Amino acid sequence: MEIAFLLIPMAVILVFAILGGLWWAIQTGQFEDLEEEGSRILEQD
Amino acid sequence: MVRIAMAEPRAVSSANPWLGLDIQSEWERFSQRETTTSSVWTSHVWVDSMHCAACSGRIEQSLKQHAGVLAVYASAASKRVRIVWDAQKTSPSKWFANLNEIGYPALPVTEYNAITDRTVQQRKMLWRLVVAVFCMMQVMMYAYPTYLTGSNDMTADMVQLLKWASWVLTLPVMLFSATPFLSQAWSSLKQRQLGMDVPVALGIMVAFIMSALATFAPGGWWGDTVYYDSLTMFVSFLLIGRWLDVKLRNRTAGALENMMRRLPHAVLKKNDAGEWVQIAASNINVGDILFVRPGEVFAADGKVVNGNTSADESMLTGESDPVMKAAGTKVIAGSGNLTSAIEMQVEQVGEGTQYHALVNLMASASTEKPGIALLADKVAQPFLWGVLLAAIVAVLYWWSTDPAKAVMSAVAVLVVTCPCALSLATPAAMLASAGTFAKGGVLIRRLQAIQAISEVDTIVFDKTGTLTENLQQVELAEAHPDWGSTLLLDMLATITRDSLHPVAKALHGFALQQDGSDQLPMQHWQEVVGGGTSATFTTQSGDAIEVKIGNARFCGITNEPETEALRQVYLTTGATMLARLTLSEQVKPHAKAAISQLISQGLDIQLLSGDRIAPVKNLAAQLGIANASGLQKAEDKLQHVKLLQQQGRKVLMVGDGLNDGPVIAAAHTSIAMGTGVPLTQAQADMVVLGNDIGVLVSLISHCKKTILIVKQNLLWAALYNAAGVPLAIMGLLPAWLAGLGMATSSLLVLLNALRLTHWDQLDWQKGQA
Repeated sequence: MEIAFLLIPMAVILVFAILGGLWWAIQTGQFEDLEEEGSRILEQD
Repeated sequence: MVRIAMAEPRAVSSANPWLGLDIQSEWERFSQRETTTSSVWTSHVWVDSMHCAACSGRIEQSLKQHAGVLAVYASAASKRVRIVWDAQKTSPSKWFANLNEIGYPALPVTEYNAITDRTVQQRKMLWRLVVAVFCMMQVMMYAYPTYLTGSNDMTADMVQLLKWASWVLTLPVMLFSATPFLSQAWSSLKQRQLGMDVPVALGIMVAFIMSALATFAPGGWWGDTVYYDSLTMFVSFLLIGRWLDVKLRNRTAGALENMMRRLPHAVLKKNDAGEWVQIAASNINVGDILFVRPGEVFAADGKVVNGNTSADESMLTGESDPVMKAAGTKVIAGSGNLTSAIEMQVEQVGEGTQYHALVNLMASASTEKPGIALLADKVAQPFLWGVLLAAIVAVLYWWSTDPAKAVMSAVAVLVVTCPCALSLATPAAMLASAGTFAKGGVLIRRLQAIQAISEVDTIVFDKTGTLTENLQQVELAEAHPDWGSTLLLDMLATITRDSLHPVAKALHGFALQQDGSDQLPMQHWQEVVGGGTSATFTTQSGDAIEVKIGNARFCGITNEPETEALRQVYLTTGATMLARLTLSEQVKPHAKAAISQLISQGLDIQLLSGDRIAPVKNLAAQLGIANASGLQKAEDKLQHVKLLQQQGRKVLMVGDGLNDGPVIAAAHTSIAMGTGVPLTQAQADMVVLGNDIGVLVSLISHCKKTILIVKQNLLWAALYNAAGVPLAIMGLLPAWLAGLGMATSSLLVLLNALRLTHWDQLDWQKGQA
């Protein structure tokens, strides 16, 4: 069970890493237009 | 007063109407410079007709081919296009004209700062939510083992490590995600009021402090139990509600702001040398002579100095007939020039115009709006005191015997009652309904409107555009027996062919629909403003006859028969009347059924219109409306609604014209039909995008259902608290069970609210014969 002493702090760090990724996603507006981007690829320029 | 074909000013014969935007001070209002020195600008424009990804693709494609345009980003969802362009190679008017050519007329987004503010605010709220949810998930993971294992299954070190890890993950939630609740609670305390956020903040703070003490100094009187899981879950649930609320408000606000800009950006002004020059509308001064082409909007109040035209003032005065404008008559900013080019002298600009007065009137009327307290807030106040009292009782009860149990019980009271279910009860149901409405083409600007609409007892309708179509319905009331009907229809179609007047257009359409041909040989066609048109036809025997179509005065008809139609027109030659036609407004489909349904529900229906009394009464009789008044100006309508409100009535105003704006703002609540003027929509609580008046009936019943579900939710929350609080005070409820109870009650509230996502817009017709 000693491995948990390593895994638990690692999980905490992982959460912060994931949050960092989400921060980037939110700040670049990835969540602001959920419908249109999906259909854009279907349009021929 | 024969229509004068005025020569287009030569200087601008090939000019485009956006030239005014080429002045740097003008384009700065909707653009930012890339760097302070470069000539590259980023501009934001609003394209209302961009509905789909195909449109945005076409816009991007077309603009990219434009020399000097460096990049184009079009988003159909927000109807905005971001254009990066080089001021040395191109100018805004060029790409504005380009957009117009491909069928997407654009407007500059001058409220760009407001939009960025809103985006930033929305992103921040989403970020708070994401932080809370992710930390919550991980804290749950750490809390899970302690719930499952017996007291000696885990080593003390492991338990301690889990607590520390939970504390680290709770910190961002406390310091960042929960700050709106903490700061709002603080400010409401400073105002000596007990808001919903106070127990929330108190619960969060006490739970966090107790947990932190238990983590870092276990074994004190505070015990060693941590509540990080309950705490983070609680904050996440609350933030979901807040975020949905912010998102909803921003979506409607952004769309409407841009449409409020009705006045033109650039105008043609006569300079000292007598030449026409393009200037920005913001540079117009009193006394300037402006050239206004047909189809343009008057930029300022003033008087006509040269030329004749008719103006569409329906948006400002409610008058649906075009108003004749000869030299010397006044024109109003915001009204449209319909038939011919004129020169006008400016008498009032900007704040002094009637248009601005109306906008201001609306703004002040909206501040008078009766504030409707949310249902939950009414329940909350006594409840909040109760919660605090219960927590104190728990502390006092246990303090002498066991201080740890005392504080634990108090926390259990605060957690179990944490007004999560209570504060979610109202917004969850309302947001579920708002989302459902949005899918069905009904936009909500104020969530309180749902409650307000469920309570109304009086509905005041505007006429044109709300109950009737803007199209005019033509009927052939009388025809000369000696003239063949084919010939009459052919003449009618031909003589109305070239006129832009709405009545002529309606007549032309009618004649063509009756298989008339508009290709008869015709000479000397003339249009007389405020009268009609005349032309010469050649009969088969070779005689030239002069035919007129128009109102009674123009055609020399003295004994005009009484009619309930909106107006009558005559087709005459000399003193002979060939035909009499009546024009009436077309009642919207479902209007009658919807009105009778509303009346059967016990609502008092009234009709207020700016049109003549006879047609208004006629329409009211058709629809079964007992109370109808005509010739109502904006002020009269406002007066009428205020009078009704003084009688204690709750008034729902349904309108569409700009002149309804003040009334819409003053009424208890309001609905704008979507074909109306954007300004009104900006004031109305709800906007119906479709044209179907029947939606109103199902809308009202769905609002009532929403309030019913809110009440169920509140009742459930109250029962849950009534059961939980005594147990918590008795110390029988461990904090984790209290947390679980809190989550379950919130979940039930949310699930109950989800029942509102089904909305059958046509269910009201089922009871109809």
